[in-house]
Amino acid sequence: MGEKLLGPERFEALSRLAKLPISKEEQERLLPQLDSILEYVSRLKALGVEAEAESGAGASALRPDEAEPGLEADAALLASPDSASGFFRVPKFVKGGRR
Amino acid sequence: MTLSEWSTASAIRGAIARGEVSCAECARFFLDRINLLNPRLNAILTVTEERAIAAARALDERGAKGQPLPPLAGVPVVVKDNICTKGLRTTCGSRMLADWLAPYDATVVERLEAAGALVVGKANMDEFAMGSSGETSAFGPALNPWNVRMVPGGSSSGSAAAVSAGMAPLALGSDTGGSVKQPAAFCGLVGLRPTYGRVSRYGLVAFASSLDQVGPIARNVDDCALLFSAISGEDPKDSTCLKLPPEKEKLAPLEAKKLRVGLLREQAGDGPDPAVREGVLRAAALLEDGGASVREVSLPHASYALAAYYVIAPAECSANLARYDGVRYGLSPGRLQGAERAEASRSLGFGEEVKRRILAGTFVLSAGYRDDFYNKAVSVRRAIAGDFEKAFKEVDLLLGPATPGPAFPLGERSGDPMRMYLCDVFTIPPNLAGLPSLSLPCGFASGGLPVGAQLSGRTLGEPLLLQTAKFLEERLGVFERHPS
Repeated sequence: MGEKLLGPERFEALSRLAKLPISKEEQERLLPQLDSILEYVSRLKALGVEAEAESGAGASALRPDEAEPGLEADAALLASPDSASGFFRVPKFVKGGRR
Repeated sequence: MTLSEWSTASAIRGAIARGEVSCAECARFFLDRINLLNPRLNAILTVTEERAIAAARALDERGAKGQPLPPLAGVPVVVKDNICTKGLRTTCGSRMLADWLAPYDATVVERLEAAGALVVGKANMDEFAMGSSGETSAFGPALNPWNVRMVPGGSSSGSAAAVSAGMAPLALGSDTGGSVKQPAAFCGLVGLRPTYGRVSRYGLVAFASSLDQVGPIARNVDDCALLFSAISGEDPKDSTCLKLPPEKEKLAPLEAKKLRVGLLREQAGDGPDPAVREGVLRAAALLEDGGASVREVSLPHASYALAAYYVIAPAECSANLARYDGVRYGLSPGRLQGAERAEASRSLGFGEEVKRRILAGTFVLSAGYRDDFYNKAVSVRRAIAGDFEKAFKEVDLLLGPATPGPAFPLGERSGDPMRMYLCDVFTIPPNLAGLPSLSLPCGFASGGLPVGAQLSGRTLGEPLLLQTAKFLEERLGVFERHPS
């Protein structure tokens, strides 16, 4: 039915965008499955409904902007593989991109 | 009263209040039951024995001093493993969080423990709540207590399997597209998905934030109402939580003569398994016998709900799961530098269903496709909400099947995602509209497996759903059976 929305090239682009490398073996399973999902959801395109604002019941409630005790730094850092002096140590992301 | 695996939460708390059973005895009884059955059923990922026993002893001491006990004192509850429990493993059924200890309690857990409930275990689940069978769990599937060759449904697979097997009378699940209602239907239980915003999401690990809600699972309607009452109500920590007090726990009797029921025409047609159709039609007939008016109702856009859902939920999932980057928590494969650390963490930490959804979400949000997919899906969501609004001008609640059929065999659909997604075709529409809905057992299929009906109501219509479910529970005669 119809042309495939995803080919290997676009699939690889998505995997890069999502920071989610996929092995060749996984790709062989995932690509046709994703295609069948996208083909199914493509039926939406045929429907003549107009775009409206975001849905969702109830508007968000805001609380007063007052400082309250939150999660302690030590507790927040507990699960981090790499922290120092009360901070997360983050690997360098920006410079020297490898692609 | 003697404790039994089928003791209801209402009976347990009565016995504890009268001093017939201690909280510690109750904790021991259900922990033993878990330890006996769990090696087979794999419903519980972490048995929270120490925490439950310590809480039970503290309650018993209060009781011994003559202090009044809180309303759920000594009642065991199982908590889905995407709901944070301080200092305890909260895995989300994923390798990504296999060793993650939550640094705080979810509001729902805080409320339950303040009410005296004993958290006895963290329940197995589809990975990050993405799945309809429990099979996407990184820790192996939970099995259906009615027939261990069958799935218990998902994604709240372990919550439903545990309650159905008598490991606890109550469990918390979470419901994004049907993850409370569908496993409740597959396991012969009552599962409520509340109005969006009725229950705090603080401490519920995010999947699709515009849809996620925590919901109660129980073996009967009163227990479901009890648990719902304990977890509902405003929470300043969740900005989407409605500023309302908790729901009352006692259900008023249904005034069936005033009730107008809409029977969902398309859903109760030829599609579903005959047992599902018969159960739903029997429920409609019982309501009519009680004096309710029943008319057929149609939701014109409901047939597009599944497609809209499988755009919106993956879109939100791809954004929400971007937080797993191997820096602050989650699987961290050594000290790789640059983007490689995030990529390795995600590639090794996530299972295939999660990867599928992240990629699908990335696709529908990407340049050139957003209008055709995401924006369109949001419009369809609005249209579906409009369908419900229109229907609720004529009727007070809607009745239809919870699922197309009973539980299916393990492995049958795990290689065919589209077929798996179709399990949620009936549970999704009210979720997209933010409306409350409930599934309750309405019969048994030919193999002896339970099937469920779904009731959907207006915004904040939970009391009417529960009253109606109670009315049906007393008349359907299907709640007395337990799995052997």
